Amino acid sequence: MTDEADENDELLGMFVQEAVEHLETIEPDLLTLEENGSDTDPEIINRLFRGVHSIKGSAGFFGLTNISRLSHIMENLLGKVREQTVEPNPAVTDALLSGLDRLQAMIDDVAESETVDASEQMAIIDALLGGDGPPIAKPAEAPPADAAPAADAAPAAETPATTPTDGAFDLHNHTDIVKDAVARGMHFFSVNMSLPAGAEDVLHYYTKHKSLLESVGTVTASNPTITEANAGGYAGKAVSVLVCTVLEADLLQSLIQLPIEQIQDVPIPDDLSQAAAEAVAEVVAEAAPATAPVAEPAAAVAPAAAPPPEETAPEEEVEAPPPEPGGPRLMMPETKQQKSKNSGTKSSSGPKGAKGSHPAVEETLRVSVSLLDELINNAGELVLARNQIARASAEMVSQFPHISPLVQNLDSITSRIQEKVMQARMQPVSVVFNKFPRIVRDLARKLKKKIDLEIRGGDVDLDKSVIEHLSDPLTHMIRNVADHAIEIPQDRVRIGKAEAGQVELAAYHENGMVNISLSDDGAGIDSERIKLKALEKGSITERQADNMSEEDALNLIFAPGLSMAKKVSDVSGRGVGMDVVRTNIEKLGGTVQIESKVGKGTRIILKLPLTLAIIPAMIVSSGEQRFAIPEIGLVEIVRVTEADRTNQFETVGNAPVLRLRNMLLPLVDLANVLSIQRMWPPNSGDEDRRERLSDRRASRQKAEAALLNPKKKQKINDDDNPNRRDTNDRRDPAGLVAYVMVLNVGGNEFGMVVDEVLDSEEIVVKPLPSFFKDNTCFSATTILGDGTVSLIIDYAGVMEQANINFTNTEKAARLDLDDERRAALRERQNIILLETGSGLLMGIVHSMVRRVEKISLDLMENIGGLPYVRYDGRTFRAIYPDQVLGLEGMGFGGGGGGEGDENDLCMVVPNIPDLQAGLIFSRIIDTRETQIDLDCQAIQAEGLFGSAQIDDRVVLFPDVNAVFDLAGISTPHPVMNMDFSGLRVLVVDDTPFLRVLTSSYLRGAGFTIDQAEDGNMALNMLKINEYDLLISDLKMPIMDGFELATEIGTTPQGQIPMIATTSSISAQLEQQCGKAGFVSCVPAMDKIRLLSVIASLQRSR
Amino acid sequence: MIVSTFTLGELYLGIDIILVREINRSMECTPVPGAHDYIRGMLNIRGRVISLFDLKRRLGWSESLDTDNNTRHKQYNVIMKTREEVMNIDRDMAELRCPWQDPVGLVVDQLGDVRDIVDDNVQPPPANLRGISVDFVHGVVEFEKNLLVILNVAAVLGVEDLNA
Repeated sequence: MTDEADENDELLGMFVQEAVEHLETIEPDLLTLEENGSDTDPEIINRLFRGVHSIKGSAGFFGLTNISRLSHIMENLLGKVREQTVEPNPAVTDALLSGLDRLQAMIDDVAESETVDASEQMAIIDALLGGDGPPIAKPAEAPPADAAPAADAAPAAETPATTPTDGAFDLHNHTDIVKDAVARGMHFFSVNMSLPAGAEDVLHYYTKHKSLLESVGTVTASNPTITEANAGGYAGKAVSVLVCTVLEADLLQSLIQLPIEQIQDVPIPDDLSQAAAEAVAEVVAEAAPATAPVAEPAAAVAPAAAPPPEETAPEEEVEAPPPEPGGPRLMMPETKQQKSKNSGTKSSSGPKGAKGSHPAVEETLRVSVSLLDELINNAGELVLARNQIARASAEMVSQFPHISPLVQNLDSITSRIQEKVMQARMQPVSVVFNKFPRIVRDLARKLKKKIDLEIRGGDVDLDKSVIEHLSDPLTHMIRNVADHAIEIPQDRVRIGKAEAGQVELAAYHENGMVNISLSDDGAGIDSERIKLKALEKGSITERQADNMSEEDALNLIFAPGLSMAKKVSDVSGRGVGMDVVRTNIEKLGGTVQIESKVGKGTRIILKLPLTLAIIPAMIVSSGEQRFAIPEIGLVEIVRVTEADRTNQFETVGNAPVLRLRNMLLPLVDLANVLSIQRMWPPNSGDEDRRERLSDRRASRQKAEAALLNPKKKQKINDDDNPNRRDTNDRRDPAGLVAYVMVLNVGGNEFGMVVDEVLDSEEIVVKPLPSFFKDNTCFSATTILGDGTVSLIIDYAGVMEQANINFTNTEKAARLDLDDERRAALRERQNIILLETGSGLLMGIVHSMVRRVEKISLDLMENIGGLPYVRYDGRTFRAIYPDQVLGLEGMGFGGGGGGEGDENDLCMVVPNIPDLQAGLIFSRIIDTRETQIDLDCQAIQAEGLFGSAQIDDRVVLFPDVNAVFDLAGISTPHPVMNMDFSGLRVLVVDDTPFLRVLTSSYLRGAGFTIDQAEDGNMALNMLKINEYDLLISDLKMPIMDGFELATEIGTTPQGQIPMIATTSSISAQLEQQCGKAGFVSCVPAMDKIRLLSVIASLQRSR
Repeated sequence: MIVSTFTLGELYLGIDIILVREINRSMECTPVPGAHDYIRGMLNIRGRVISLFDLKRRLGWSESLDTDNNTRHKQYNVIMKTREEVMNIDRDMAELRCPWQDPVGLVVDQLGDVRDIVDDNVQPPPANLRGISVDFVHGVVEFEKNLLVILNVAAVLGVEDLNA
């Protein structure tokens, strides 16, 4: 009993599966019908008819009368469309589509289908059936439709009217069927059976044969008709059945196992075949291979009729072999392709090939996913075993030379197996794409827009698991396009676009990923409007909005809570969605890109991995353990050595960061996040005696503090140095510190510090056991080449675990993203390159120079043992900078002397008021606008800022003011002599040269000086220390001067006097500075002005 | 009920053999950072990723003896069947006693015999049972003056509520 029930359930399941497949083809076909109206390819109408018919047939068999009735009436309407007695106008397709929806609902929940009310849909269809043109006599219409289901009563009840009482059949009574039959090259046979004598066997015998016949054709009429009620009366009598089939008599005979004499050919009357031929010619006039399409409908009846015999008379099926190999029993539930195959083989009279528009016929088999997964699992194991054998055999090759070809063979077979097994999980994206024509149509109607959806690349294959998760995001995107992007037809026409919006959904391969692009020619996205909206919602600050690139602004639509629809409709506009789209796609290991031009259209591209089951990953180690890091979000790997460390590791707001090409990357140490104890050296069992990265950071911080606070420097160096030597010793000779994996999560990048990068592997992803589901750091597991289990890192989880807060650093990263912008921001200095008499190159910043004069030697005078220059009616004290700085010995012995006129010298008169002195050089080499990377360590001398490399030559930068001081020329300006000792100043400038310069001025004036590279750093330092004064550059990355000043205003240090420095001063700028809270704005490098301002501040205190 | 028995220190334990898939010697496994301390790690057995529970720790025994590598290598992994596997043998058993879906194993000290037990002899755990919380006990059987404690594996694995 339970077995039977199980079997029934199973069959019902098959019915649902099959019905769903039919529905999937019916929908797009109906849409085509709607679009093309009466020009629709007859084959499409046939296919529609067949689909609905199949559903009806099977539903009838399962006693699902509701489904059966609805599909029946739909079939009738379609039948009329096919006969061209009903015009397939929108009303018709609408009715059919709404019927289809109802049908879908019923099939989705078969158990409850009987309770669904479809009367409305049926009434509409009924009206259409009745309203348009005189209906064809029902009996003539019904048989082909009703013959298929094996519900015995139906044909039995209807056929008697058309069946003549004598044994012979008159085909004139079945003109419609004959027409069809001729078109398909079918034959009519009269099968004469002698019914058994026993009354109780009659019905069984009759139905058995009838079912057999119906499995290969259509039982058009029966004479007499045997029903349950009257069966007893026909015991021992003869009965004839008219069957229409593609089979020849001998094949039919072998099927039903009756003597051949009992099967008589019923010739088709000439007049009928003539009429039929004409009709066919008409229908297929434009279809190229005339016979193929018309041959198709044969399948409509046959497969639909197939299940019943299987169920009602399974034993017969065994004794009577099916007419073709791979009959219904062997076919797993058939697909569309299979059906066309069946029809192909059955209509053996017609050419077998399919029409161009048909998918290639391919045999398919339905296999459960769990079986596939197991296969994949084992294929993965096979790969591992192969690797192990390969490794083991490598040692044996010398002893057994013949082993290596064997291993190679195993190797290639294994690879092929794995590849093929993986392919088995692939599905074409059309599985998802196919539902969109309908969605777009419905949306267009609802929104009163016109939208043409074009779908390309539906045959691109993707992993089943990817496909499954693609539907929701794509649906959302399509809704958005229909709702927001496409303008209403009047507007489109007005701006010269086609009335209907063109939307293209395409899938294609690119770089080993599958791209799915959704493009439209609609209104496009206005990045300014997004910014405004985001500002309004507080997702971004005004400052961010100003600096935001168009691309970044567009990406804001993926931010949660941001809807661009002007009003909320029930289609979209609630602001949930695009963020979900991105989250979902990223969960699949994909990315989302968006490009848009206002007025032209938008294109969203989803980049998806082919499969989730095998992913490329980097195998890294942290502590003693190995982890797999998916390569999908891996941007790059940075190897940080001891030498680089000081330059690259920094702290921003106590968070460790890596300075990478001017981008500040927040750092996470994987071992710290996972709380792994580092063991070093490996396997020693001792706890790591190396510093943990956090400690290294701490010492780094100390070192930083030391740098900023020179007085403490010496002391810190003392206890820092042994540590450094330590790490150097323990690590490899290169002094390697770590590898930083630069990872991208949702557009934000961060660095994950690991100990070693071991390998790049294609790993087989295995789900994380449920016992670890609450662990956010791991997404799955895998088995490595040596058979050990390894965990796959989930970056987002690690980020969460490490509590990385992107609000600070993200901005830094954004602003700093491209080097170019950064370089542009970095101030360039206009410098004059000069050569001293001793051949030294010196650079003086242009703004420090009032003028450069060419003087001849005879203008030089010696007055009181000191050199002077008479020039322009005045006398200047001549200073030889190399002498003053004590650097003559470094020169190259008058290197450039030969080139210039020996008698000519250069005098640089500095921009210092009331100073009657000049620096004497032998000649000017060049003037140059360049960035200066000042090195204060390499060459040190009093009065020298430092040196820099320009064109591969070392250029010295003298502190002009100091040079005159050293030369004993007291600077006339009073501020130069003021002493500010005891005051502490913070100098903020991103340009090292200017920072050093300003600091040196101030140090000379007695200040204690701390330096910061940008506003952010300055803010942090302000939190730690108290300053009497702040001097800041205006143009800086991360946080510029204005921003800094504004920020400071909100802190407890708000009262600190602030002075801005700038390379290009203007009234407007000064005004801006005042507004931001600066006391004053002075040109960078103008020592006197700077000191004057400070002095005035001092006085006002 | 046929029971596969083993020892954990002085404790004599048993698991219904229907639930046991295989038993093998302990080997190196991959620790899972951040997991409970009673989870020893994950192990690959013929392509299946097995989560290993350290039974001693799970029962709350705090001695660190078992962390010693030598002891570890003398231990055994009792790998359990998954729900699906049990389902193929005994549907009721799977539904009542085997809520875990993932392959999992328990680490024990020594293996004992396979014993056939009369179900009626299974008693509720005595109040003075030591070394194991009654929550983890399915029942006890007296055996040659020994008390055989039959484990409630679902409770040990902490997956009881999945079925509730």
